[in-house]
Amino acid sequence: MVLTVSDSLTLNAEERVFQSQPRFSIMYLLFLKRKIGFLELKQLLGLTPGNLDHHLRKLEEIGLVRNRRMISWRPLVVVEITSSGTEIFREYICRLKGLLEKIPEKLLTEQNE
Amino acid sequence: MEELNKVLQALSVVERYEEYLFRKIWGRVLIVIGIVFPLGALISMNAVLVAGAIGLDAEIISLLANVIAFVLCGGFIAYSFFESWKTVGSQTEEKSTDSKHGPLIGIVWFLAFTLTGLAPDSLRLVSLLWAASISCLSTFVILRSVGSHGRVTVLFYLGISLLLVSFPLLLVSDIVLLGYLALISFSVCFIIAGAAMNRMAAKMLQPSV
Repeated sequence: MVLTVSDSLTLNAEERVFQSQPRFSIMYLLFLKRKIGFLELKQLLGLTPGNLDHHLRKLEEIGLVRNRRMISWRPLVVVEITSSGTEIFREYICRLKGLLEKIPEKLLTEQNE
Repeated sequence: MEELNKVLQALSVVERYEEYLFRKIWGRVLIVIGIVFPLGALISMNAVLVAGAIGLDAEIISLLANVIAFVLCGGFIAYSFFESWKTVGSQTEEKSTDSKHGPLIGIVWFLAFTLTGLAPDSLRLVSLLWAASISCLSTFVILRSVGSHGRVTVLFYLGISLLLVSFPLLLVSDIVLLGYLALISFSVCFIIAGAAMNRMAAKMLQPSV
């Protein structure tokens, strides 16, 4: 049985950015925690600074997140989720949750065995 | 299944970040306690000297030092945990039941340190080590029973270290020397534990963990 996720979700342009694993993790983390430091995010995801910057730019371009420089004892860049980012991701999560619930229990147990 | 894996990986990232925040806060809290509390006690011990220098009553100096140390420690701990929990967006049912352990830990620490007031003057500062030891061991047990942050073994080792360090100190007959040694032991144990907790926090950020 093959799950055609993108067909079932019918993603719009904004939601298509979540198809990438790192971007989904970034958004999920920010959805729950609102903000996180760039360095912490880099370590958590195991990405290079350039790679993380690329993913953040993609999210920033469509207004889902924003970078903010903080005055601290060391230069600190904090990534924050925007209000539209929260809304868009919430809708995406709801649809994804609905889709995952449709996965037959039998299929999951068969795979575990 | 691609989507399912994506969600599972994201969940793992969030879990590691929460554990990182938790350990980082405990690391900071332990270091602050290890600095502020002994400083307050040190000023209190030398209250007569300080009172002579600034022209105030020694008892007032001692009281002020203890109150300021207590307020600074309590304020910092409350602020740190509040800052961390503030960033959590939606409170799930699981989290609301899980958060009951916070006040309980606070009560245990408060009671343990308040009870040191009942100790005889000669053992007042050594009793701080016992209070801290009981508080750390109780916190370890509470967190273990809650299960959400079960790997706070640093608190267990800190509790045991404080207890073990306190016994040889009882052999010191000079009360002033005993006081200084107790404060130094308290400070060193807490700062080392705080640094260890910070190191463990940093490890939680690594994907391989």
